[in-house]
Amino acid sequence: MNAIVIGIGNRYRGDDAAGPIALDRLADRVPECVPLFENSGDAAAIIEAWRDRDRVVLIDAVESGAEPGTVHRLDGRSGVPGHWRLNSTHLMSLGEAVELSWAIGCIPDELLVFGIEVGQTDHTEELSPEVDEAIDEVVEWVLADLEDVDA
Amino acid sequence: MSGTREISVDYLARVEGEGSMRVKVVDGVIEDVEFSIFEPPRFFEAFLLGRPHTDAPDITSRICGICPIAYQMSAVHAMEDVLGVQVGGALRELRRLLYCGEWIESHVLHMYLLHAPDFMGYESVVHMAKDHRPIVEQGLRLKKVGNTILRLIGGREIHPISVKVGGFFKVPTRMDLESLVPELEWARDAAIETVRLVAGFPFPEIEQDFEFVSLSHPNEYPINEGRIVSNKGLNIDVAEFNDFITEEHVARSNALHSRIRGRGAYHVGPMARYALNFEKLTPTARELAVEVGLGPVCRNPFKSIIVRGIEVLYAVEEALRLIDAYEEPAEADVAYEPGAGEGHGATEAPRGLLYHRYRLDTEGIITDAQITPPTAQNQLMIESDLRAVLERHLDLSDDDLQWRLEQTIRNYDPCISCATHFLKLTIDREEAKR
Repeated sequence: MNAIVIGIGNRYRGDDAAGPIALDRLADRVPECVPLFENSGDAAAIIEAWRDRDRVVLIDAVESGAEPGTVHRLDGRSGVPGHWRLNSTHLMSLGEAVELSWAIGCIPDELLVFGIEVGQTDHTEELSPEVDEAIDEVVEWVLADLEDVDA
Repeated sequence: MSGTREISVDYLARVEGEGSMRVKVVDGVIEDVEFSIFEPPRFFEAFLLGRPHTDAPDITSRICGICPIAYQMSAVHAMEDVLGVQVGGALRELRRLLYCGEWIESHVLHMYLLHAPDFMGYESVVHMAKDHRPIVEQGLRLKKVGNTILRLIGGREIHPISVKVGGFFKVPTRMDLESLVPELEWARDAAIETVRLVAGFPFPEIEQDFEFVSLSHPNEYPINEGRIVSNKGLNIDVAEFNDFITEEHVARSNALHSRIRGRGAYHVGPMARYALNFEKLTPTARELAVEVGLGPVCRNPFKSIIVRGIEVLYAVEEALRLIDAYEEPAEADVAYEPGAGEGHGATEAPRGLLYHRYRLDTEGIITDAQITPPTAQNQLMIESDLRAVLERHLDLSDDDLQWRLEQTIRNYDPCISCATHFLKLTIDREEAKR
């Protein structure tokens, strides 16, 4: 299984760092053959990262109106809710990256998306406590999902 | 046309980040045009204070996910200016090669995924891909060529980690770089096709009397080094930036508006570099520009997409030249001692001149920082273009006018996250009845 884990976010914008921090916490725990790819929201680079991958796990910060620290888990192949505000220097949204991948025939066979609801996206390296905990939860979910990947 | 017209748009699509624009027309006369940036612009400058000077390349590279190299390069040049470090030979050329990668990926991203849909009549690249899949595929592949250079030399493509004050943490082997050649050779042909494609787009007839500002170097198309020059007589050392250019706070925006003292708005970016350095392009790039009717100076901001294409071709050819000439340096960096002082650095980010200034104490700790990104410098020029476009197109319907105004802003590939961090961009146009 040709897998990759993608973390989207900005480490200097509070809870927007959830994706990259999740990658930090996964670093020594995922099988070596699974690359961890950090990105600040360049949809084209994300498409390139998941092109030719069978299995993609993507972690991003989300603002949908739910309680901070809420973990959303969904099948990205079916699209990403339009009301998700995915932080960072977005050129195109994650939803558009999914649509474009369908249009050019490079959508991964599996695209599991974790959205972590933000509390704040201030200019800080600090996380909200709820988001900090949610990241740990997501890390366990991701590890469980990758359990069948051979090291 | 009588009455007051206003257009409201809550966000501007296909500009990095968010921003706002407000337009007000009263009795057929343009009363106000505002292009606003809301976020505090100085976060990163404050964030750097009290940190070691060696942190600046990494921290500033995170200001923008699309042009991290530009921030790293302006930062290391400014630090090396403080410390009296000279980075020459293969290390200098390697930095130029890395920067070529960034020009390629950034320009191609903007041209294919953000700007081309405007000209081809699509709401977004997703819609365009349904009818023009090969074009979108070509764009993605061409962009990837740039990203591959970033990953190979920079260590990572999004927040590259190998650049440091004094050189690099690690340099590639000649064999590493040669692995890039076949795809770069494909990219040269693809860049030529790209220029021919975009030159065929329909362009509004509009010419602006720009003051173009860019670096100028005696021997090369400017990327990392040079004096700051303009077509209206500016010719200064990078260290004189603040003597000739002022940054002013504008109440409606947290970003600073830049002006040339005594004159006003000016234009940085591909069109400025091109106009001021046409003779330094490769022969192929010059000939192609002539073939598509561009001429040595282009004053139509909508044709910036063609100029970006010419610069992509230049960057690809320059990358091939640099790889061909590369000899792995014995050392990956130049040793130096920390020291106090003030230094300046300016390089040509894909979007234009990016100026950094730092002051360090004797331990090499940052005590003062100034970062002036290209989009902040272009902000007044964008307003001027919006006004000019409005004057010519007041007869358009609201929807068409809005489209045209958004396209006018996109001409500058404004990286709002560079100018601030998150820019909330809003275009307002309203129409009221008397």
